[in-house]
Amino acid sequence: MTGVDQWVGVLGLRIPDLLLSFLAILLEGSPFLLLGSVFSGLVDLWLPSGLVQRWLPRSKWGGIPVGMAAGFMLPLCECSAMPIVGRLIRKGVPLSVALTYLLASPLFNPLTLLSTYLAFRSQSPWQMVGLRVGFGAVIVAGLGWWISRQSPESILRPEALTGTPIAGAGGSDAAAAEPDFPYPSLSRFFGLVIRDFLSVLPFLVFGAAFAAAFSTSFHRSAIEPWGHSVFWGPVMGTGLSQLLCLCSTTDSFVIAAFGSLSVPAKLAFLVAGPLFDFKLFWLYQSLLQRKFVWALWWRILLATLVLTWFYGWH
Amino acid sequence: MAGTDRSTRADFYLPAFVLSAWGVTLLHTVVSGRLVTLIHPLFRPLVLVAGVLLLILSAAHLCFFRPSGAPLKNGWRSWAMPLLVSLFLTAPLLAAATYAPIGFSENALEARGLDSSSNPSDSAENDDDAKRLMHALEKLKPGEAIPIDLPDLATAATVPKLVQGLEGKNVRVSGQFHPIDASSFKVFRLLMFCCAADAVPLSVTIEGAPGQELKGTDWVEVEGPVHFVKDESKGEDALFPRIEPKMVKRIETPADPYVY
Repeated sequence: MTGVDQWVGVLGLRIPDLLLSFLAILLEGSPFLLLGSVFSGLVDLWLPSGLVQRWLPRSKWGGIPVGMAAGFMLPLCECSAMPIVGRLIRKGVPLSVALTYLLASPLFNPLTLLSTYLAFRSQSPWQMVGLRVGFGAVIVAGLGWWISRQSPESILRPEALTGTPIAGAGGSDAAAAEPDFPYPSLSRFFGLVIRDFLSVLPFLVFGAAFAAAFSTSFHRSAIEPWGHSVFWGPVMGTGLSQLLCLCSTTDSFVIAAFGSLSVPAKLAFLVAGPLFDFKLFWLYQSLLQRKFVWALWWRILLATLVLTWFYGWH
Repeated sequence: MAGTDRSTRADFYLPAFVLSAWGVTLLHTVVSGRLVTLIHPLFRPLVLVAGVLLLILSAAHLCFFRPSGAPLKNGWRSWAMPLLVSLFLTAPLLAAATYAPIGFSENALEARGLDSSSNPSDSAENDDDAKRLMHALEKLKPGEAIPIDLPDLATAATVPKLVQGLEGKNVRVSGQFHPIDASSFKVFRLLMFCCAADAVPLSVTIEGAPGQELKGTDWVEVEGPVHFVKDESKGEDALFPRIEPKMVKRIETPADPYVY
């Protein structure tokens, strides 16, 4: 280790710190990704397509509140939601509903709301929870409406549309292997879990590397001079959320202690972070086209900034 | 299996290889105790379950499937791409598991706010902690030092009754050493919310010299009277604990270096 300890990377990034953060994020995220893959396999086996289509509202917009409500009632983190959302789309769930659920789940899930309340208990907790949910709901509903106007071909990766795996270790599974087991349902289940897990895993590895690099090298005191500015505060909060890549259930505890940030800046952090960050930039690409991911990113950032600027000026 | 020569499709084995590598790495962190320095206790059982499940999946891939007899469509690229992806999925994980240190460098800790005077919130347990501290204060014999965790001390600074009760009393804290200048230093613990990547330093300023040569991040125990003061430079009402050191001694690194 002594040799590695001496490594100093570019931009003040120390490789040992990067490796420690990277390993921690992978160990934290991979069990949830596996959990999502198992659920995804169960959905494929046990949830009939007709049932899903019968339950959901037929209008494009009517499904958006359903997607948002599902985010509260079927709470999943970003890592575990990815394989399930892909499976739900292939089961016939409208794209706008599935993606609204994907965006809503980390933001509206009960654990996120509870942790927000607890973290801000000495700083107007109900106001922070209410504003986080309110601003988040406005943005997610707007995004759901925008997604409902797009064609699936312009949003989804071709592999997600057809159900074929992404090329790679997971892709080779389908290409090089055929079922050879007397219980077809069980072998199908195992095949799906393996394929979903290995298809999303490269994006988790990419995302973890970026998150580890930013979270270890970014000096948090750098934002202090602008944290209370009406204009720059939300910009700093939003930027910080993109760099730190924290889980939505714990981000409140970290940001609550930032005395150098104003309330609108903290709100910007709490709203933008669960919807998008540099880890999610890669994870989203396991299902969505990169062009769409960029479009999603700037819309989320712009909407967050506009809402928090408006709140700050009032 | 069904008369197919497995060697004709080497890429058949790659998913099993990747799943095994991940499963073994996850289980190794559990068995070796390394997981304690990486993940919050709440999530540790998930790592164990995931490690076992990944090994089961790897075995299932080898047992429940057989190599396809289909000819390779794109020549060497058919196996080179999966091989590269498999290496990408395993090499960084194995490198990190092998070379990642136990704790962060001082540079990383400073970047995470070790130099800041404010502490991260741990208010989830405020009420319980406050009650426990009040109880300990009531039982305190004259002249006795109160052993107190840094999260409890940070909590105490937000509860007026505790500030009043602890002001001027002897306390004993332990944590890692961080130098400020010749006449003061900090003692900090890392507060973990989910995993090591989101851990932030929770510190108390010690108004006095350590009295011995210490390196940054050395583990120390400090005893002395505590005072709660406002940080005038910040213009905030919040109180911050300060300890006058009567005794500073180096201690062994604890089995679990984090607080939660």
